[in-house]
Amino acid sequence: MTLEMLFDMALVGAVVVAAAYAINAPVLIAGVFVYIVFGVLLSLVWVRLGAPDLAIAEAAIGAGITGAIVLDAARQMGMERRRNPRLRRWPGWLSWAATAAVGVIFAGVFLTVSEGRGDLPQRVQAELPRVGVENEVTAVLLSYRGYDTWFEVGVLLVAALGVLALRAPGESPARRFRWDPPAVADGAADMLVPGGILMAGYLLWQGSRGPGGAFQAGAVLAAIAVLLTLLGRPPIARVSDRARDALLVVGFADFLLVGLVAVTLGGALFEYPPAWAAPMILVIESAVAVSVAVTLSLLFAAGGAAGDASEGGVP
Amino acid sequence: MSPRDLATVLLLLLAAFFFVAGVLGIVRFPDTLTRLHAVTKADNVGLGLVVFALLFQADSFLAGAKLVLIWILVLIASATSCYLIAGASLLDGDEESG
Repeated sequence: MTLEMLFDMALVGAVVVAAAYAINAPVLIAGVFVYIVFGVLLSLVWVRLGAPDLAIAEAAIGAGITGAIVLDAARQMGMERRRNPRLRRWPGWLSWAATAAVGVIFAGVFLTVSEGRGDLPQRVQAELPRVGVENEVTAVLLSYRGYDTWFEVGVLLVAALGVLALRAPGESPARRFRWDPPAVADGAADMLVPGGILMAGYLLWQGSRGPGGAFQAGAVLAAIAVLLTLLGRPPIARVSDRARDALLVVGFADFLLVGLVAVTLGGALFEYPPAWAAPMILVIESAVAVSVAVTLSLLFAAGGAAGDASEGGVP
Repeated sequence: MSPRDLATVLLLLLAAFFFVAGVLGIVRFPDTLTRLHAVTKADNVGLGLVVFALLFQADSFLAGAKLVLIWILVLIASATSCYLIAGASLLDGDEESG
């Protein structure tokens, strides 16, 4: 047995243990923390599978932003010290049975797909010169499967609309954490925020030739927004409602617009002409990154019961 | 084994010692402040030694600089979060042991 196999087996074992503990933790807040650890471990699994794009997305969105939202929800529900209610016998069995069934289905799908993928990787590689990007993942997301990604951006938009719909008209969705953050926290933010913005720009630009892209860049920007929200200066409160709504929509709209431009140039929707493909994909990715960032930071900043939007306490 | 590889292995072993000691501290120490003391050693010195060890394997100056940058970012985040957790635990009067 090689050292790599040993490491992979330990990693997979840790993922399973973390998942089981996150659900069954005796204290709920412990489950939340282990859920964040689970996300980090999962991103390591993606690294081992040679999928750095997914690893970055999983670490930033799965572990980072989702972790922050779940942790905040647990805090607001006063769950810090609440014990996990013991599941009654039949729903407990039911959930385990359902989980096992889903696991079997996924395993079946995985085995079928990995057998039948044929020459798909070669065909993706062969077409890359016409797509205008060197990164296969970006090519699949923005070009080959443009529809899927466009709708995915639409799903994010619907989520943001749902959050905004929970607010009374005119009520700001940006909750402020009312406290006096220690100078140490403010100072650290002053160092981390510019670096984070630079990092997001790098990930966006890098997406055309290596791991990175709109979703990763947007998630890093959203992480900065979460940090600033916790320090009592939510960036989303600095723009007017109209500007905020425009930023939420721009990714979806711009994606469609560029797709339609491709149609006027004689292709199908999202079939960019090879000469223009690279700049068109960059235009889409930039707009999508902005919308992803604003949506994710809205999901965090708007957390909390409707009506007490400004009542957030010490985090 | 080349001297570079030897340096990497020795530094990684030293880093592993700090991480093991840090984890042991989290499990065994009685309260929040002493546990923080243990875990920040692992974060700062342990990760620093890992980065130092990997510098001997870096292909270029840029790759090495990125490794050092990771360490600096973790130092900032770790020191700040440690300070905040310690402050919160004093506010709570958290004397929980176990």
